[in-house]
Amino acid sequence: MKITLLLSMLLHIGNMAPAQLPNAKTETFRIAGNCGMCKQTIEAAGTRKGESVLSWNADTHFAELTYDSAATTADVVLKRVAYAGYDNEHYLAPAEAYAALKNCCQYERAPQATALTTNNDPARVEHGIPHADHPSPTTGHHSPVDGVLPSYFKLKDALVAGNAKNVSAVAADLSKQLEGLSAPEAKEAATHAAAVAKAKTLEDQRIRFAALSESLYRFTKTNSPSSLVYYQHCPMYNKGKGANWLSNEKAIRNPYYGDQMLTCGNVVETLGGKDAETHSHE
Amino acid sequence: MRGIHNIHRVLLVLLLTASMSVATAQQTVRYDLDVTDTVVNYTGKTRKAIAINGQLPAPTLHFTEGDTAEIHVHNHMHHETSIHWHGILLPNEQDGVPYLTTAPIKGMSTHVYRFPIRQSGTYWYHSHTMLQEQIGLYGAFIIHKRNERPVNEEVMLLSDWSDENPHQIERSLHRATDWYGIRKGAAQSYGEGLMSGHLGTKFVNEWKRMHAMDVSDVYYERFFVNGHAEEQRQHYRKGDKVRVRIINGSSSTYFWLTYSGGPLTVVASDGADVEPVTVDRLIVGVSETYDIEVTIPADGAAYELAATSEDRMGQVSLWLGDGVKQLKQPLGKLDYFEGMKMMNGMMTVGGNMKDMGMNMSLQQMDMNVVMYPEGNSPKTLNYAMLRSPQPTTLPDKPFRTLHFELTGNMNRYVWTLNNRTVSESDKIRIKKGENIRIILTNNSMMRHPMHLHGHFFRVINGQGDHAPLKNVLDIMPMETDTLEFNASEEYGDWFFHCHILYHMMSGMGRIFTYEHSPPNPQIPDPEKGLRKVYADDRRFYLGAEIGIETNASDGDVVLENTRWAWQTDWHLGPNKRRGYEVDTRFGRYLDRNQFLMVFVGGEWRYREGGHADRNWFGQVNTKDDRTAFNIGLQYTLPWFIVADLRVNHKGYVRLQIERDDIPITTRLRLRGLYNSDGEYTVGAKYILTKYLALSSHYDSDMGWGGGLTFTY
Repeated sequence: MKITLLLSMLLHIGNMAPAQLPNAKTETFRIAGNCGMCKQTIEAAGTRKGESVLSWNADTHFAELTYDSAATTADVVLKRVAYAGYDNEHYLAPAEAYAALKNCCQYERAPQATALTTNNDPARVEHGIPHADHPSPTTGHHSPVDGVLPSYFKLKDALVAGNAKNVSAVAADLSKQLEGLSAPEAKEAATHAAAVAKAKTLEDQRIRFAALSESLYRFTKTNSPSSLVYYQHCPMYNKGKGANWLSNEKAIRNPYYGDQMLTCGNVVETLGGKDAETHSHE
Repeated sequence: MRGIHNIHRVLLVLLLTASMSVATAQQTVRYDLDVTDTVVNYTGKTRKAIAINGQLPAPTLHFTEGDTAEIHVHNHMHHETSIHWHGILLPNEQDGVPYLTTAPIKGMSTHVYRFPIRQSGTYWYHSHTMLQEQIGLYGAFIIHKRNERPVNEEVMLLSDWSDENPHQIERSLHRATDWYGIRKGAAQSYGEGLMSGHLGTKFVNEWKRMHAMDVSDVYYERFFVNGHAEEQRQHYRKGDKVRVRIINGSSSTYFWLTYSGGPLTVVASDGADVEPVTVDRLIVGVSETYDIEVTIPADGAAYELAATSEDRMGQVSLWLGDGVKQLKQPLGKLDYFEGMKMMNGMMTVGGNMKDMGMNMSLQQMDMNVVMYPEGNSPKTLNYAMLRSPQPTTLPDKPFRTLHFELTGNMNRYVWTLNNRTVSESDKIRIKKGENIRIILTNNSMMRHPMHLHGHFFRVINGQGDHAPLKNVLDIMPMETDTLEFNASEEYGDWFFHCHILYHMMSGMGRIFTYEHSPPNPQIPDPEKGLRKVYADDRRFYLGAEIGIETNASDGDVVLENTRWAWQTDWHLGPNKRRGYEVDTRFGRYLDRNQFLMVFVGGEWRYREGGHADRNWFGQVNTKDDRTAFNIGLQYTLPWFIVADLRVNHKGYVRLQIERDDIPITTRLRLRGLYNSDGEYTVGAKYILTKYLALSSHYDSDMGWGGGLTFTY
């Protein structure tokens, strides 16, 4: 833990808050983006004098937000960041704000945000035909895992960030969602998610998360998701025994080590999506 | 859920039978509405409001076409109230305009409304008593079609909220307060004009006697959807189609509607179905309703149905779906100087609007777009796009055509039809069965949502026999629109008025009355009742500006209504040598634009040790001790210079010119005065709050001084 702390302090040292905020509260959020220019825009949108200081890491895509909890909320800050064009855990940027970003800043968007552009097909608007008659070409089907995966990814992201409090909260939500599903793999996953929620330390949470990921992988495999899901592997975890997890992006962000070993791991299998096929990697 | 316990059991039975598609028998649906005083706190300040069944807005009432509505309104307040059923076709005595159609609901009493439901669609209900609607007395009134298939549907009841007492808002508007403009960042001062290269624009604007322009007059602290800043419905999934019943229950705010999940399909307006039309956005006028359909494009996100106030000061959201929230791009800020430039082109120095031969109608040319900086132009709904699924032609009866010019005076906040208020006009007599055609021309600087009680009208919009049915028509400045309706009711008095609450209260409307109507048992003394109705637009408003400064107190107090004004001003020095002056006058505005007032009055002044002066007209005057009666006139010249020419009972003549409140910056105002006695004043004030300013002035009699000015 000490190493994690030290590393994150080193990473953020250039962006330390100039003055201490009253009622200061610090949280970590994932904010999409690509480059140094994104960093400038994101931080400018999230930082407001005397209210909030946001510092975003272009490598991890995580941002540390410190704010005066009497003056503002994380939700308000994240909304501003989204209006500036950057998707985050609370808000997806307006289509116009994203389109206005420089080419180098146009990161790969979440499927929820790209789904609506197909609905805006001008030909369809012109003829006044209700758009639901034309199913979106990118998504032919619709699976029970679609509803729970976003929460799982949020849990994974919280583990990458190493925020035990967020992990517990998100895991509790996920467990509730999984309980609502009838499949035996989902029930099994719900139990593991509840165990993550109950775990006291980050280490403990990660152990339970490994079990949760196994059940959810089997559930995802039998119910192919609408958008691509990557099954990823960390060979080092648990004294070389290794562990797996699911991700919505190809790039590795290791939930078992967080900042320490962020990009350690590889994609084992690709599930779902419009052209679902299995890839094996060494 | 608080309102549920008040719904009679019969409603539940009805809903069950309706869902089994067997509801053919007549059902009486009873609601009990308990009206109480309440307090709310939206901004950190506790304010008085009115609730129904403990909630604000009032509960949504559901009916099915063919039901009989029985609504018991229990007024638990000590003051009276009323409920009007907006857009509902009903017998006249159920319409709910107090003293005109329906008995007012006195404090601590119960009133029962009972009427058959002859239509379906999205409607609403609200108080028609003074300004009660502003503080909470409004709710949704939904009528389902018989044997309607259940669909995903939501109600989006929009409203505006101000912490200020609505009567204070009304009084301030009549005083042409610029405080709301300051709050909105819309003061449009010369300084701001200079910085943005629009100094000439501002000068021409004031030359044509126009104050700072805006798309709305009041500053609202909050906007609401169903009483909240935002609401979410999480149960929607990808592909779900949701019908949203949008009701603009605000006092004076138009709302733009946009959706982050794709386009919007409009399927009904003011309760009447229209052929589906798909657009990127639409504006919902005050008191209008629209039914729209939107689709949820994907799972894992909530999509934003955003309603933005036309002045862009606030936005409320209804989130549809579950997950990360997909925002809609907010509408840009208004460029007021561009709007001002456009207005300058359209306004004559005489104060009339000219459309330069553009024949504008039906919201098709939104002149406001010059104020909306937008790159690509989104597809916007206008009335010409609305088409009724069924023919709406009227019975083959003779037509009678009425012309109404919408007229107004922003400076004194007088709003009229053909330059007459409700109380200054006779009721318009109509014969049962005849067809009425109304041609409306908007010669005022603001848009007006004109609402007709108890009837649908067809909007003549190029769709021929399929002209859409509405009961509210938004008419923009310079537009001409034609409405037609059949006098299909049996009897009674029906109000036709602008639904901006503060315009309605200033008298912008008319009363249609069916000939040979039987006596209305709810109005035992119709003449007395009508006087109560007329009293609304005859009220006087008090205003004052009182300076307390080291050299003197300069002040004025006015009491004014639509046509009459009583003005008193004073200059009181600190001692006899500086002198004391008081002047009072009672006058009447004569012309339509209210630039000209004639008055009678008196003045008294006392000063020691002055010397005799000769005025511009060669007359001699000591100013030391004078009591005089005056007659005279005041005329507002271009650039708001008020000229005052008077003669007293001894034949002494005085001409004075004065300009107040020249906006130099957002909060800094200059003033100046000069008269034929050689007296002059220059002053400045810096506005601190609505009621208080720092001020300083120099007076040729009193010298320099500084202090505070109170504005009421």
